[in-house]
Amino acid sequence: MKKYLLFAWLSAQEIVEYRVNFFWRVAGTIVSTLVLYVFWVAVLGTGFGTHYYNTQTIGLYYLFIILVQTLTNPEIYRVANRIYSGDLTIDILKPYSFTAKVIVESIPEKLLQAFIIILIFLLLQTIGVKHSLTWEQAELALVALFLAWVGKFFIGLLLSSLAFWFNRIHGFESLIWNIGGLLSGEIIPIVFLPKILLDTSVFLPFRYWLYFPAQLLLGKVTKPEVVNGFIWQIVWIIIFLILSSVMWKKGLKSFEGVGR
Amino acid sequence: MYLRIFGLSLMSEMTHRENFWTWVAIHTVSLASLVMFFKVIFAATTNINGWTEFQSLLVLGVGTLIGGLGSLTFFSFMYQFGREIQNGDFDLKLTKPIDIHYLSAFSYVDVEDFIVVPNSILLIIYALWKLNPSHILLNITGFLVMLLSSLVILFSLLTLVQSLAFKLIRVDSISNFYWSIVNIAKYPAKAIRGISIAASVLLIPIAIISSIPAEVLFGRWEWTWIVGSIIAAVGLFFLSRRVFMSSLRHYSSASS
Repeated sequence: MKKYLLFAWLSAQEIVEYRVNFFWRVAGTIVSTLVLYVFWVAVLGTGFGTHYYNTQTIGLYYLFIILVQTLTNPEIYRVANRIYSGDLTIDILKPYSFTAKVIVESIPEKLLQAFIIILIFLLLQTIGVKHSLTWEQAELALVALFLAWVGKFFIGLLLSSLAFWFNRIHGFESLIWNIGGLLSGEIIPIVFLPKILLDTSVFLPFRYWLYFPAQLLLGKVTKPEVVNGFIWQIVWIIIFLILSSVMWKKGLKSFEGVGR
Repeated sequence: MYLRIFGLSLMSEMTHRENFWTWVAIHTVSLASLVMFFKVIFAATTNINGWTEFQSLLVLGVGTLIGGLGSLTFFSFMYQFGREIQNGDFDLKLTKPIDIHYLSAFSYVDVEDFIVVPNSILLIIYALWKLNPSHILLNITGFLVMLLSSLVILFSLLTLVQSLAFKLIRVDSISNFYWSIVNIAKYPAKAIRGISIAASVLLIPIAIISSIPAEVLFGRWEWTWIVGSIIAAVGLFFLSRRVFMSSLRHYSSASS
């Protein structure tokens, strides 16, 4: 356990060392979300979607979307870069789990970003935005967040495994998340999608990794939807756990450890 | 020289053709998602503060075109430059008989984003066909001037933020911030009203980048904005170049 804490500590030190870099990353997210929010305020002003959201709840919706995205980001570059450089050889020969190392290295930045988002949320509360969750809702949201993170981690591992065969994989990753952008509620709340896309989104993993936890945080999910959401989250975790394990094992067999 | 860099970048990209075609799909899906976004909204409303569906799609097309042209020209400034400063490879560039500002900004062409340009032009043509503006040739001429102005503004802003690399060394997350600005320029910023002064000030550069060229293209010539955009482009260009050249003094090879 101590060695993993050390990995997390080193990762935290890197954030402090390059703090301006961290600032730019956070600033980019804040600026783009703010503009998307004010655009939605203009859209709601036309009467569109007012039976689902008002100017407060749409702001909270996008804030929670960022929170979920931040906490569940699989950061596949941490794995893929080690494969490209050949440094994976060092990791798999040492007495620690490479997967666990990748996970703990990502935790400090996730926590710091989540802390900033929660600060923004508290700031909004002080200027009159009212939102509260019951303990039960908060617990359900935490479980959904955890399952979303596990699901995204395994799809991330699956995509990273492609680096064993392809020289560049960020295209594959972007393709998956771009398709997911529309069907996960990132670009537009899913309830506003045309029926065909809305129905399709039910059978794909994206909405359960983003929209579902965000809606739980908003307290806008009914009990049957909660059960349904958790079942789908677990189904997709099992699917991607199996796929990523198969791919990773196959990839490791073909890995030559000299860099690409 | 740009053509040679383009040729080399194209050759490099074609060694990973699967990657190139994946990006063709990504950019097409990405643009289609945003078109869908506007279609969904305008299915229920005719305009947002005076901006109609096809005017908004025109802004989306212009914003996307600007991003595509940036990728084919100076966006590489975001990626390689910081790494070169960090590991000292920037020394090699300093010794070359080419303007260092130019060489830093145009070091390679992001051919992965090539498809963005034809995709966005198709969307612009579609929106224009639906809007059917008068004096189209005059509008296109004005649009090209405003497009150049927007690209100069983006280039100057990138130069200003990248100049920080000489002092702060690792600034690769600037690309995240910069892409956020480029991406939000796809929304019609001038349609957003009734918000706080701080948010309005934030929207001015975003409106200048994409909404003003789009407005000129469909025939709405607002001279205050047009002149303001051109003055901002010229002023920012000279300011950013001065800042970049003076920041060079902070560079002290790999140990900097």
